[in-house]
Amino acid sequence: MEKLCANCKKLLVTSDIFCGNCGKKIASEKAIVETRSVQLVIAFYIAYLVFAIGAYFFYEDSNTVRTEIIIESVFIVLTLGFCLFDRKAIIALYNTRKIDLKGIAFSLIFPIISAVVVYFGIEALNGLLFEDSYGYFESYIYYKDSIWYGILFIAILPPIFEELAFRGFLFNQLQKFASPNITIFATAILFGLIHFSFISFLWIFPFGLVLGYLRQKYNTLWLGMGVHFIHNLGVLLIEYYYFKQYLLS
Amino acid sequence: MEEIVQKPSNCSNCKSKMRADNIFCTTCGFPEMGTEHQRSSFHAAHVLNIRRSNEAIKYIKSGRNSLFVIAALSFLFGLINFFSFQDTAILVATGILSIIYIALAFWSQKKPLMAFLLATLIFLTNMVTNALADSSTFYKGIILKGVIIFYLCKGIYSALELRKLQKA
Repeated sequence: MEKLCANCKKLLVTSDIFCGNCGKKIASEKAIVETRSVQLVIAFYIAYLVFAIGAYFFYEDSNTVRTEIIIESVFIVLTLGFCLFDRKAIIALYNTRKIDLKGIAFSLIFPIISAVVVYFGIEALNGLLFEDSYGYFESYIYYKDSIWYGILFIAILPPIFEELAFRGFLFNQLQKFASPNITIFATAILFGLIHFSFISFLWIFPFGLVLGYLRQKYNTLWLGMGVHFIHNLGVLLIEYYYFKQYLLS
Repeated sequence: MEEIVQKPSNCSNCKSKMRADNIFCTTCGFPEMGTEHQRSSFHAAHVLNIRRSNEAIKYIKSGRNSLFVIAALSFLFGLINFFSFQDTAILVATGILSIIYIALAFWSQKKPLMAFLLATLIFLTNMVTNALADSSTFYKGIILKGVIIFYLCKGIYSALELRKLQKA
């Protein structure tokens, strides 16, 4: 492939690093892309950090369905806003080309196991370290039709938009300057950190590694969304079951 | 009388193959068929690049040292909490955090860009998490925190600079 030198308009070949006629260095497109991606990753993470701080104070102020809807809406707008920077590559991730039976079977079985392990494991760890327990469903028990709000705000919306944000936008940007394995690792760390909980980090980090692996191997967001949905729904239903048992007793 | 000039087939600076009509080497930019002034400029730019590389390496080292400092301070904070309030949870959390910072410091020898990027974001998250739990912690040691963030950001910038220079 051939191109022209921006300085003297001489014909260049792709492998040229310098123009043979005027000696000007050909701007390395990769270096420009890398710098932009690093800036986008930092901007993305800081934006989510600020969002999380805002959400924290907003929740402190009022904890109603309206609060939840406003916070979720801001999260969705923020995610879609960042995705606009890389829309073509992100839209391409909504495909099923590489998905095989093995991938589907794994995506159905793994989250069921992870939901059980996380629910009982974290419950035990919380009890051991903090002598307290906290669950997903707790925030919704005072709402009318609490289980449906729980399903919407825990099982449906986070898998769609967290996958889009972390395995979509963030993953795409990181892999522009890092190898696939490092990208999976870094996405999992940042995904764990943004949940602001040391205990949660212990399971979100390995969970993020699995989601990143699926994203890398199958080049799609569908499997990650499926795993995330089944996992969150599983934990929510177990909690709901124990909550009902508690009410009956 | 027509003068026949024999053009060199290889660059005398980097030994890459030169195309017949080129004045500059397309691999290293050396003005093989250029003037004396162009050659001097090339060598001056080369020296400047080496200096920039050395400076970037120096800042990467400073960033690495700041990671060791954060690791030590985090662990110290955990120990103080443990001995003052018997807070095991904080000790475990700060211990793990210190190990992560130390691991990132060693990793920055191989992958400085990613190591500093992750370290900066972890440090910021930790600051925010602590501030949400107790807002007064945000101002405690603010100058030291500022210095650490400066060195970590400089580490990211220097790692990017070094990648650019190495590609050149």
